[in-house]
Amino acid sequence: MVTIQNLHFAYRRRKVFNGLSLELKPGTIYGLLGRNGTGKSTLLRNIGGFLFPQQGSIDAFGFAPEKRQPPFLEKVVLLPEDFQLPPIGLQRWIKHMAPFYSLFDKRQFERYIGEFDVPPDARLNEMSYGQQKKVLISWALATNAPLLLLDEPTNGLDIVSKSQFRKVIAGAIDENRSILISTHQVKDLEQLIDRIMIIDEGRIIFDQDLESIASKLLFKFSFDPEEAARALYRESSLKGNALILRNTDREDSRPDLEMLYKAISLDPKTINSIFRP
Amino acid sequence: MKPRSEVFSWSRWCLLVSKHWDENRKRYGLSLLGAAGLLTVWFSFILVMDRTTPMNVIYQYMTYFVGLYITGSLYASTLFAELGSKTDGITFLALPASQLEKLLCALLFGIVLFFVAYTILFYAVDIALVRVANQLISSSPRNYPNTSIRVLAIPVYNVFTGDYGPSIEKEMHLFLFAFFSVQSAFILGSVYFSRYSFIKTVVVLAIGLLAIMTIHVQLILPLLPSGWYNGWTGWFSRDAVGNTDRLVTLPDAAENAVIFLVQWAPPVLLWIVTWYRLKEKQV
Repeated sequence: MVTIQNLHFAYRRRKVFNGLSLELKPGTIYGLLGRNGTGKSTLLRNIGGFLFPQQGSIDAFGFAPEKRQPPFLEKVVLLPEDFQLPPIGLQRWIKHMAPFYSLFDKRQFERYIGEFDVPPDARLNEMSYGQQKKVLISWALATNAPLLLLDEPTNGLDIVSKSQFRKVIAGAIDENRSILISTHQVKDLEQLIDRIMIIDEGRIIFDQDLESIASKLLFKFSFDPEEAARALYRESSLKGNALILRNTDREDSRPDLEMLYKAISLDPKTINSIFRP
Repeated sequence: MKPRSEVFSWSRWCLLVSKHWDENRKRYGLSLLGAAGLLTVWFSFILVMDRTTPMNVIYQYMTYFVGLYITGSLYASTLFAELGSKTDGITFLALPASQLEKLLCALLFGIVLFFVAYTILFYAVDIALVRVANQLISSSPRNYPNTSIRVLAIPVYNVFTGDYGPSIEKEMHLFLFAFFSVQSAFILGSVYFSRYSFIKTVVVLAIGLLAIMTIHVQLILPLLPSGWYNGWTGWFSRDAVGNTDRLVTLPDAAENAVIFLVQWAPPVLLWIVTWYRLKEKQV
């Protein structure tokens, strides 16, 4: 679907990517995590063809994104964190946008808009930021583009809308489509993400699916100081120490992505060594 | 369904034009109304101030071209203004249409439709106020100051023939043709400069004009024998004694080709540069 090899990118003198490689496969929701300024949005913009690799290559569905050919732009839809919609009614906007996307499904769009409780006849510029974001999410999904790049999609959404967002995204994924979500709000998307990628210092330092994480790592609370001493990562809390341990006994636990992210940020080598075959 | 071309598809271009029109028609309508209001106020002012030859051709000529250049360059500077901001730039570039289609849409609105709309608007106001001026002249006949020459009816200035206007416009259509180059330069400026594209393009054009004038005066003229220009490409020279006139000129066909190139090559070149710049644009 998308293959990135040895990607180098810099803004003037600030290096962002230094030989980044990754592969995106269909049927997966990817969570892209990283500190501020590590290049999450820059990566999405490189994949979307809005920034050009200075070295290395990106292949998306057989296209070079920087050429921005119309069939490529139909296949890869980027939903940026900040956006500007024209001062026209929603229906008129859709009427003009839809014909550019051969797979756009109006009924699907109306269904998403309904699920998000967005008034279908409102003017775009009179909607709140959250409502505009819901319109864009609905539109992006209804284009049926096989790759959606969502930059901080839950920013600006209220609690109910975040839950609607998870429901809509979970229902929209299929074996032909992938969604790459760049986010700081790990908790919002914990139950949604299939695979987590952590970006740091211009490289992907961690790239594993949740199944593999759950089988190799054990997430638990414990008051046992011996267990705490053996932990790969620990945080104290009112419920005892929140721990990440090696899952040697194949116990079931639900990965806490926020904790995992902190653990990897502190010591990527140790955590990665557990996942090596 | 037949797959659309990746470089240019007529149906996709029509969709783009329709989308641009729909998103901007209110703004364009209001701008045209505003321009019509300003023209009316300006011509009414002239009508009141010039009691002898109100609305004479020079006023019409200057108003047409000053208005065309100022409003045209301001509008052209906004055509790719989205590219100056990351958020709008992504929305603009992400739309599944080729860069050529996006450029041709901008050229249609920025050059063709703007020129047509401005010219129609100008004449709508101009013809009405020339009529008023002629009614004033016929109701109270007058002479030119300190002469016994009667002021005749004022004609409507024809921008395409240049009749009754200055000879430079009548013979060469200098400002009429230069408009397409200048407008194209401002469209390129709106892609090239992310911020303050209007001011930056004005500065670049001023520097370019100054450079051409300097090269002409400092380098080309000293190479020519003493004499003067005759038409576009001719040169009259005379020897040191001053009694042997020689006319050096290109054959008519070559001169016409040079004139055609000078008139039409700059805008086309600027469109090509804009296209490449658009393809290279990163946001």
